[in-house]
Amino acid sequence: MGYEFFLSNFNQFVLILTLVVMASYFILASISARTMSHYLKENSFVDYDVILSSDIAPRISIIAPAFNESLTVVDSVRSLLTLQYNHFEVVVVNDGSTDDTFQLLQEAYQLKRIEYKIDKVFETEPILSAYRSTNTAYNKLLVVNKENGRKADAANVGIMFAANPYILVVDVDGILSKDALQILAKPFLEKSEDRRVIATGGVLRIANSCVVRGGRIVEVNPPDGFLPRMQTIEYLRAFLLGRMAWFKLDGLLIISGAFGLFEKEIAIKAGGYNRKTVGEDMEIVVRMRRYMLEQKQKYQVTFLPNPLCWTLAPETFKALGNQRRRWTRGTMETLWLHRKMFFRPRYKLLGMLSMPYWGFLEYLSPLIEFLGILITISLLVLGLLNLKFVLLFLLFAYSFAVLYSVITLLTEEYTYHLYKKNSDFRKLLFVAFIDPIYFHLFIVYSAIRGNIEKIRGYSSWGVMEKKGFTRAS
Amino acid sequence: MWTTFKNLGGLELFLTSAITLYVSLGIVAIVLLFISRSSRNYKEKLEIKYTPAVETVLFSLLFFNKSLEEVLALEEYKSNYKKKTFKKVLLASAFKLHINYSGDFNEKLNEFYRKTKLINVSMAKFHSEDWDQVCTGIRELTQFNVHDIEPELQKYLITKSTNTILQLESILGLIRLRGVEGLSILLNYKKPVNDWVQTNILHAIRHSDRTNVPDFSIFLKSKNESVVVLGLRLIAMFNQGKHSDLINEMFMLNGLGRVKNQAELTLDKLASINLG
Repeated sequence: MGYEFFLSNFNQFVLILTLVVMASYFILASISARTMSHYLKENSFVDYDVILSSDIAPRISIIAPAFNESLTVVDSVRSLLTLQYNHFEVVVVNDGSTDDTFQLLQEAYQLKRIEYKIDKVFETEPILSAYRSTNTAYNKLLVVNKENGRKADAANVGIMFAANPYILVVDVDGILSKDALQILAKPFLEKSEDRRVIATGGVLRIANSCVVRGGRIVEVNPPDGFLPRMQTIEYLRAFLLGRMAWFKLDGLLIISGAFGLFEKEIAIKAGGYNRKTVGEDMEIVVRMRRYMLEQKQKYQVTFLPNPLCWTLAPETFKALGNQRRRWTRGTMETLWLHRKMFFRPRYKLLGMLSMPYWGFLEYLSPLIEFLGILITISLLVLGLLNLKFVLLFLLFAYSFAVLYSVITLLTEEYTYHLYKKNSDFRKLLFVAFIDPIYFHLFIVYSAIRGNIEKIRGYSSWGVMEKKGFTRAS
Repeated sequence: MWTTFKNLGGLELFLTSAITLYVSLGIVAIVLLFISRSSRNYKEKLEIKYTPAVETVLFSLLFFNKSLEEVLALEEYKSNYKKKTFKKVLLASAFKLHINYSGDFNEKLNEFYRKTKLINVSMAKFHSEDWDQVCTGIRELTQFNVHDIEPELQKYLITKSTNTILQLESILGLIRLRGVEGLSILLNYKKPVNDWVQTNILHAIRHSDRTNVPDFSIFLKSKNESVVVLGLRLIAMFNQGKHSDLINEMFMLNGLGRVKNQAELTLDKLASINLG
């Protein structure tokens, strides 16, 4: 009897949790839609070119950690150097690459070793050397060689070398839109006297099958492969309907590691990137916000819905699984490191809503879903559960998932309209129908494995699959 | 609770209703998607269709030395001028040409704008209830030098609206109409003028009529700290080195960080210009 009681209550718990998740998604989507509509209206009157001739525009150091990036590094750095902005530098941190990343850079940009002096504000792996180009066309480029210490360590070295008060940490294999810095700079100019903007993020889009020319996306296509195509919808859901709402609520916890602009002073005071976590992008945002709240300083973390950065999504289950297990471990580590913030009014909305939401709905959901599947199967086998109910419940969850993806596509259509061809749009729409029974289950499985890895003390980034962009002929 | 599982009646009804709702909403969303895409495609096609006619009209006026009367008698104009999309494309093209040209070309465009009653389209936007329409109206009217709206612009800036975009458009509109003198509205301005607004103002000033440049030291007397900062930036921009002593005094005496910092920057800039 006790066994039956537990099982039945668990299933009701799953149902209630499902309803809470659905309700929260609808609430977030409606906040996002409203915020984005207002943003787009305002944005239609913005002339970002005014920043180009301005002395007031914030000075930015772009930090690009690079580890074994020989396939893309030369083009990627060129793409960074040709961004439309006046006051910036590019700091490439070669994180002990074992391939010819550095040699390629040295040859392409005529690098010459320089003497350097930095304020060693962080503990890092040893810095070996620094280089500047002998060609004045590349005078914005600085290359630093260091021993391998992973992305967080390389980003910290980049921060120490950065000459400017704002740092933009990017993945070297990402492609920024040419006006990305102009758009990112605006919130820093708009800030009020008493509230500093400490971080800004933008929308990351999937670049698989998009055509690249001169380091820029010239043709947007949905990915040919099913797996990256599903990630396209997933990214749209997360960025357009999720993060925009959290920004509006002032509870944004994550700025993508592939692309985030930070105020250097606060990043340093908060301790820089945490070298012990694999979720350093989320962790630094939480820590900077926590620092500001503990110091009782007014601040803002902003998010821009513009598609500012394009990245290649994993194309195989192996690579995707590796990435998602790492993300799960990163989330666990960040939530654990900052567990003190949970339900503490001192941390305002961050402590009272954002952290609990991430803890209970984002992190625990896959685990509960997995347990729910196991227990439902057990109940069915034991004859304790009505098959009709199970099927109805599955259809209920499936129809919601499809609806949410369709709403995401509708949002994309009304806002940025990047997929121009009807055939492209049909491809994405089709994916919305198969995502819940194909992609989502794999994500749940990866999250479970990520938990197991964390419990076993696994802390590696795993092997990253590298692939180049499709270039225009 | 267990009885609920056993009986399932209420639960089944709930799940069935929710599924029906989700499926219906999904169908509505998909229909909206396709309507939006086809309507966008239709509009784009229509705009492309009218572009050659618009180009013939405007190029005849500007580059082929035809009089306004001759242009208005063109078949391309006569057969289309009542169509809404044609007017929209015509106004947008005339607006872009006005930005890119000056002198006689702009005089011709101003006359064309009034004679073809495109001004009424902009006026309707200017008097709209939607702030974004008002902003578009301001841009168009001030680009085509319609001075009648100046009092309204001042009202938007000072009292009528709290919308920051509308306020910025009003300042930029005044600069377009009056040149550097348009800035005089800021002398008694009480709200903070953030760096984004200042960037836009300085950019507009760079591209405006700079024949009667006022003495910007008057801004340094403002009680609004952000206006003082703007004044310092304008002094640097126009190289009004005669105020160096006053700025130096401000730098020495002013305890406010922002003004002090800008005073230092302005002094450095004035010194470097003088050295150069």
